[in-house]
Amino acid sequence: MVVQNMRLTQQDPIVAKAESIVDAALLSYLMDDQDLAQAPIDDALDAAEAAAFEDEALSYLDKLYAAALRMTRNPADAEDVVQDTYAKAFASRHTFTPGTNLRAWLYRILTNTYINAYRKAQRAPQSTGDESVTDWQLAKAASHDSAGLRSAEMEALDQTPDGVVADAIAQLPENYRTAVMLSDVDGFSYKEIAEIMGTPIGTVMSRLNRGRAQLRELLADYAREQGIGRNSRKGEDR
Amino acid sequence: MSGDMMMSQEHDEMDECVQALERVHAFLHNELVEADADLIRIHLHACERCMENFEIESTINEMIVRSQPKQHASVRLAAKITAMRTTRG
Repeated sequence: MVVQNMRLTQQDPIVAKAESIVDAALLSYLMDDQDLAQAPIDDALDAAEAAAFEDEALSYLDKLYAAALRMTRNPADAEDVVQDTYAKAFASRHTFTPGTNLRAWLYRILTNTYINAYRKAQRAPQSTGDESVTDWQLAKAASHDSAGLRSAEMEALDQTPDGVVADAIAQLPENYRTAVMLSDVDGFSYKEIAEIMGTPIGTVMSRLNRGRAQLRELLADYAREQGIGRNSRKGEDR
Repeated sequence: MSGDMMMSQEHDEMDECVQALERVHAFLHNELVEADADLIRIHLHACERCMENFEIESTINEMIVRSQPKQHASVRLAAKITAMRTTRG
């Protein structure tokens, strides 16, 4: 600021004068800020900010509840997770950077709350998925060897009910499912998902790719069982 | 053209397909920079198989969204959380 100001002084006296007026005003504002008389105004500003923050946070309640329901799979636990999430969010408002994505910030708290409080409590260790799928399975789902059957796959997808898709999603390993949901249902960017899940962006992409490859396989399994989509892949070595 | 050259050309085409398929989700989620997205578009124009694959993945995107019904938090939960506010907006 000072360096820039000096350069401007040399270049244009009018701009320099304007700058010095602004600087004087800024200095007087900063000094006023130290004044005790300012304190009630600061409190009022902070309260207004808090109200705006809490209003916006509450506007995401249904979405957060839906996400919690997908994690816990039962309404009572989902409500507990959401309640804890809001308690933490309201208490740590000052750690939120205004102007950044509040919805993503809340999802991160929600995800951490669920992982810390609820997943720990489950007896059987749940597969996170990161270790369970090998690259050949991913390659297989994307393979070109059954190109002639693609339209059959599309035909099968058209006949697959929503409930079957929901069941298939529920079967995905947790980390894959979370990445897929945050991306496709909640519409977060990969960068936001990385922040929410606390992982590098490359891990997000890998979880998405693998989760989607598994989902496609599960939907193909359903089509085979139902004999829809011309049943073309029946008997194929799996 | 020698057999070797044909082999390498086929290999390049396979590479393009593999690269396109690796990026199918990033492409459909608008996560690629425009230059990379354009490379995919050019490839899809030339490669029917990849185009079909992209259409299938795009269809599955829509099916995923459709399969997740909207949820509403209960009035009781909303009231509990509203009571936790530090301010009354």
